[in-house]
Amino acid sequence: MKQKFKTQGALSSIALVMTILFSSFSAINLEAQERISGTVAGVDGIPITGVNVIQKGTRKGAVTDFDGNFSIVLASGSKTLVFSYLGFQEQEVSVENKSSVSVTLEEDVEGLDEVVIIGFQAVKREKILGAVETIKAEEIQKAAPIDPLQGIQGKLSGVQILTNNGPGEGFDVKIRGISTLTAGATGPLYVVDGQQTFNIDNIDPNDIESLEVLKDGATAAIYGSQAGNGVVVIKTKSGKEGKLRLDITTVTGINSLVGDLPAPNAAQRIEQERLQNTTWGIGGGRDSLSLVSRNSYDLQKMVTRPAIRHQTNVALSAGSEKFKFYWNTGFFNEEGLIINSEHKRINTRLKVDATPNEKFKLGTVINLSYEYTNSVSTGSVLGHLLNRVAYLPVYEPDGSFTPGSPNKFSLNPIQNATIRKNDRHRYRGNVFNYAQFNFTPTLSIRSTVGVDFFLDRRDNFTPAILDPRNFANGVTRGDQRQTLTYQVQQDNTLNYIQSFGDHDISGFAGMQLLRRKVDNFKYNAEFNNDLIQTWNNAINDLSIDPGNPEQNNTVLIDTQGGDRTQIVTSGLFSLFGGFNYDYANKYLVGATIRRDGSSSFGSGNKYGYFPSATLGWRVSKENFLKDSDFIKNLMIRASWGITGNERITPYSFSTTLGPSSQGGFVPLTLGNSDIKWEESESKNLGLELSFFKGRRLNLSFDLWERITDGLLVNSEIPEESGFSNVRENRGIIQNKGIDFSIDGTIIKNKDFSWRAGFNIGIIDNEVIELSTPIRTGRFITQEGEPIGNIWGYKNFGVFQYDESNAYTPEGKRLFPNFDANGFFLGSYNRGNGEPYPADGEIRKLVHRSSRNVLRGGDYIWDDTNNDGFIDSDDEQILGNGLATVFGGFNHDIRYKNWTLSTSFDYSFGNDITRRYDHDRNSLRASVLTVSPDRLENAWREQGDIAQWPTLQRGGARNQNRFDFSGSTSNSSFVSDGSFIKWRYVRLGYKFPKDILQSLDLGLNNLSLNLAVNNLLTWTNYIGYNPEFGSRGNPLTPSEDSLRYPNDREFILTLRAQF
Amino acid sequence: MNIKNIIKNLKVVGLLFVTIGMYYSCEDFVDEIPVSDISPEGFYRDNAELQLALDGAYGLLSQAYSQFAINTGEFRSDNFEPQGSNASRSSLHNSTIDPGEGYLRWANLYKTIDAVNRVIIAAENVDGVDLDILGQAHAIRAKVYFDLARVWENIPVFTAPIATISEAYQPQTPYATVIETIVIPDMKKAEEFITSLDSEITFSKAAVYAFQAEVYMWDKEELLAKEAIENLLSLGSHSLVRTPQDWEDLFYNQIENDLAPEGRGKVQSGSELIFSFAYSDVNTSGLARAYNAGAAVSVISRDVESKWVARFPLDSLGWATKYPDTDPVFTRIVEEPDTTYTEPIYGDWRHFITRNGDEYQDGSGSQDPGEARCLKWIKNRSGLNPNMDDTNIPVYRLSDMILLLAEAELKLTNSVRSLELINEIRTARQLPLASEADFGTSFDEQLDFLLAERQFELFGEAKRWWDLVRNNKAIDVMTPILLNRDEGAVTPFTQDQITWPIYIDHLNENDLLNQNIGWR
Repeated sequence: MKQKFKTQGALSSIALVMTILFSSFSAINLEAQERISGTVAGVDGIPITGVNVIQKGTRKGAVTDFDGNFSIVLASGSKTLVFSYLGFQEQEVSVENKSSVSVTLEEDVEGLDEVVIIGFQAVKREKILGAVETIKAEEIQKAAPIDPLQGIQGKLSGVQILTNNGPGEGFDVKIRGISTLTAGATGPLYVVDGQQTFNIDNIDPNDIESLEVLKDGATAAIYGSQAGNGVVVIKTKSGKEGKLRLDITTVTGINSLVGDLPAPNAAQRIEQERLQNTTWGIGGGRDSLSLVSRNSYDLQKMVTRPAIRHQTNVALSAGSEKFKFYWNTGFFNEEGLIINSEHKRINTRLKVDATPNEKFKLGTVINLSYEYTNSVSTGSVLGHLLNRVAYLPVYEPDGSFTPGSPNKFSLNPIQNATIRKNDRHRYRGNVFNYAQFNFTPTLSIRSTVGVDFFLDRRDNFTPAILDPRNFANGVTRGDQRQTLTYQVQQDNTLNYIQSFGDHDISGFAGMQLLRRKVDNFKYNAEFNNDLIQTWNNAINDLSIDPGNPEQNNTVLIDTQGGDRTQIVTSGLFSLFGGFNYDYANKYLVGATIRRDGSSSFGSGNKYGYFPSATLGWRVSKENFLKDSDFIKNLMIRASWGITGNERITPYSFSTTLGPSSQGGFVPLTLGNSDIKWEESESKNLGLELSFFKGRRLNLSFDLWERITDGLLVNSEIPEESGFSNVRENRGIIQNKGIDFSIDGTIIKNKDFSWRAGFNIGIIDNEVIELSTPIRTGRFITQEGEPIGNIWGYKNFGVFQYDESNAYTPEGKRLFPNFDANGFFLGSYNRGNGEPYPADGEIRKLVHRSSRNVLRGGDYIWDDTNNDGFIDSDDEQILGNGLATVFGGFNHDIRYKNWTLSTSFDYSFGNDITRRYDHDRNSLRASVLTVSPDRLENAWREQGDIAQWPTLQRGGARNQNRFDFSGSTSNSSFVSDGSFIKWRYVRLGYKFPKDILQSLDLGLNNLSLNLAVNNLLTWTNYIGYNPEFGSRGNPLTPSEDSLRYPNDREFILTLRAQF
Repeated sequence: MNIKNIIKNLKVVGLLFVTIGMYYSCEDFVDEIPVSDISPEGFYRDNAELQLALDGAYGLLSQAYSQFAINTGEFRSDNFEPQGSNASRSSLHNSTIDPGEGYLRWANLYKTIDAVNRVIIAAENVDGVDLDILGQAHAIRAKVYFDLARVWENIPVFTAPIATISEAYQPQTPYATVIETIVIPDMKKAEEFITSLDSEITFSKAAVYAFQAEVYMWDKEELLAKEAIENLLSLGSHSLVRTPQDWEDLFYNQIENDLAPEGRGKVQSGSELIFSFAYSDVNTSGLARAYNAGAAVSVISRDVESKWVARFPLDSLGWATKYPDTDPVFTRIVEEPDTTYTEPIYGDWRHFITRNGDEYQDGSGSQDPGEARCLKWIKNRSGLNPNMDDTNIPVYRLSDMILLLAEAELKLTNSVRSLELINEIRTARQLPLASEADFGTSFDEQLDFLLAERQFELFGEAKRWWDLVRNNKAIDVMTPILLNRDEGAVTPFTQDQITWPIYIDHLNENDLLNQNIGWR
């Protein structure tokens, strides 16, 4: 365990340099010499190798050997030894009148002494003045993740990580809320060992040593225009000094569906047809004994399966003083919960660090990965599973699939899941090289070159039988999309670090070049048949001479599918610098500035400045707290910074023209030469508190605000101009909130320890300024409201009687009076028993577009403007899709060789619009089968007090179904999306050393873990899963159009170290 | 470490910087130009590029009218009635349009305007510019502005591409100003510049005259309209087709399939076609979507069917009473157990072609009135994917022009000439001639008679609603029909509601626009 806290050699050597520097400024007395020896061990009694032992106030030092022994000759002066080792708390031991000591070092859970590289400079973790969250390898490993972000949900306050569901779909990460309106640009910047990227799906979680989330603007500001959504700094594992080490990990898991959705059976479908008196299908009652009507399938069971996952990692590492390497190769194969879906990854990462001499250091990281995803189109599989005509058969007597009915209705979900191809291949290679030269111990220069190459190829194939028009005349089609992205990054940084007594100062300056090219190519074609699914079977271009071998196999590009090439290039040129200063680790101050030049903006707006400033006061170092046994650390810190966002389509500053699929050239986009950076100003006020010896209880509290100005919005403009939208800077968003976390070691002794943590993030999001609202499907973003408001019609239930549709001319609802037999008496009351005058005017609600007067069994629509008409003016806010409170809590318990870890996370305050449910219950087509609940609780006759309106369709009842067709939501399909998830529980056992030795396999370590992921979810939401990302679209959070379902996974992990 | 070593290492680092510096200077880095698109500054430089831009504009024009033409020209009229449950379509038939209906968007019309504005402006700077291109650009602009004004009355006007975002926000220009300052001058320039006489899917001289006739008739300038049509006729470029087969071929687009094994594909040709919106499987037509796709939502109204049958009876007695001297074109062979004989097929064969059912040579088909859809173009076509509908939509046909001339003559109090022109069409269609008695004596009777002739000849071609509005008959004709619509009476539209509502998003996006009075 302790090994994991070791940092890479580069960092420890910097630490060493610093330690030496510290000591070099102290006075030295030459006096009599004295020898002290001893051993150093951890709490678990295992000796620690490599501990620095220094006589306090002198340069005298020693390092413990493999068995934790040391020996030191003391100079005159202080008779105190200082023991320090990364990952452990520094300890001072008085050796007055002793010749040997035995020291037990306590683990430093916070890693305060550790040096981390954040924003081009090395900082001691304790001196970080911004809001930074850290996750260590060990935490990441607990859920046996496939993806670096899996399993750390709920562990970082103020950071929301939502799965996008489905194999290989990745995660949506929101650091302190949403501050941009640009789709695909909500995720943070990732800096992996210095290499910048927006996608880390290809990184094997086993390679990660630590992951730091820079939440506040000041810490992130050094990444300037890339940092608007926060920054995640990832350090991967390096080789360590010592003998060759081999780590083998294997994971085996089994996934199963948790909670299926209510789907109608054949009897319910037939009942629906009877009620709708539809001529479609057999429900007209032509043959009530027909065997067809006896068909009933549990399609959800048929389309899902217990899915197996295998994952293996083999990591080889070794190191000497001058050369270290780490080489990990991982493979995993994850079956999807839905048949015929899977996700595979093969990756290999080699990291080499060389230190030829004291002055010079260089290294390289090479990461290669291949990912294969076979996904299902959730609409045709899951959607039709719920809304198809339930009695239609699935298999023919000969075992083949029964085709779906033409025109996309009632597809066969099993057939669609099985024979439609949705393949995705991702090939990615990263290379990152660095070279560092130390002019003097205090001044160094570092140059890096990184290349990121990424080919993302999607391959779809639709056999003729799935042609939506008509399976008899079906056409076989294929399409392919290739996105090739490559990025070159080059940094040069000058670093200076110096200490003068109590004054510590460091500074840095540098430049960065980033060039990126995205080459998108999409093509479609009809295929000759289904037999071969590769492009040599595509229908050839008839105009090409088949006799000419060079022109053979020239595919007839089918423009209907929107074939398109789009190549974009962008460049970024940056200069940056900054400094940190502290006096005795008591008063700390820092500032940075970055100037970015971007090709995404027009000539006048290419450059932007991103400054930051930080202040800290470590109150616990003041005299009045210095010796407190209770408060061990108290720091108040404040930070301010500007970050930017430039993640828009390049060339938005220029009007473009291009070929039209209809022939000729047409204007494509309207340019706006005024566009400039999206700018976020962040403020953070933080408090850090640690109590008790060994900092057993730690508290962190941050109050923050981020105001983003000049949002890069794709604004709708009057379409009279010939264009429907233009990119412009418009609007202001404010996010503010509180991050709080507390963790403590409740019990700690040699055999037993218990650590618990809790965190919470509270976010308030508001669009402060936005001249015209932005409507995106079922969502609206408007001034004075948070992002993600769900937009549509609200209803108050269902009219009981035809006469129930009665209002005063002012729009107050009236209630008809009935006698005991349900006979309308011709009079109304106001609801509180007060009678309405017999001659009073009665107004009835009318659905504007059909001019239908609402009747019994119709929705009681909310007529917001009281004009008596239900029309688009009555659309209103029905809820909000963004969570306002989220966080998690976790426990780690260790008893001897056993560990037990568990983690919960929660999210509250958002609503979900159940689009799939709205669709199937919309009555938009008679072949759609409504949900069982909708059927059972529908209004059927006068007097019914019903939850759902009548199932009667047709023009007379347009008032009950216009809401879906207009891309609006309906309050009946908006529900609370809050949840608490029991993310995992893991039981681990580490085999004792003596057993390993008796096995005589050369094993140094062997552990076995049993974990269960996604144990339980507490929620009122009725869909598959209340947790889902918006796939990067900030404007439409929480729209459930049926994502891949929720799963529960049992995982067995075996780790062996040789 | 010695000095030599330091210097050596410095050299390495220095080299690194120099290498990188050689490849990039910082300005290179922040200047990137589009690769897959071009900017307007590098385009419109010669006739070839202007032609490319004009081709693009025609594509946009077809796209803009794909559904707009039929939506605005047919569905509010008495030609169709709603069937089934498409609320959006029914609201069109009932003229109870919600301003939130997506088909009210005018975006594509204005896109076309932007595209031709760019051609017209750029043409000034092209040496030796091809006037035919410029003329066509003016014609397209005039046609689009005319239809915009005809549908929405007061509309925003753009005669140049916008240079700043604020220029996108324009108030409405009054209807009369649009016609006087844009439509008519553009129309005249088109006449002046265009040289080609006859090109069906682009604006030719003939098409411009036809367009002028449409505009002048709308503007109650019958003399000018008459002059335009006479100009068109004197070109001699078009003539009436004279057989049912040729008439069908003006529209015919039937792919070969199981239901139509003899389908001849897209024919759509003939000497009557002056100008059509062209469609392909890329730029698809809205025709199929309007009339044929999916479940029936719009069917030929019972009113028009009974009117048609009244004029051209389907039974021998009715026919013989009305037209004792003319036999119908088609006959059918009747086989009975002991005898086989031939009997005439009474009625208007255009009626049979227009409605769905069997082959038109066999009569009106089995669909009952109120069930039949308009299958004039794609008879019996099944498995039709509206996303692949390549049926052209005719805009101007010679018979349309001749009947329009008849209307002009009638309004110029020359009813004799008007009846002659009606019978010119009847002759070409091999139908019995209309007598003076049929035609009536009062102006109103005569006009109604003529409009019905237009209704039958041009059914489904997006003319009827405009015929009604132009002659101030929309309310008179539609009120009794709307009051009679099933599922309860529909509130008939008012005079103010003849002008269409402006799409709600257009109003939301531009505060300077006002909703038309009838829809506030």
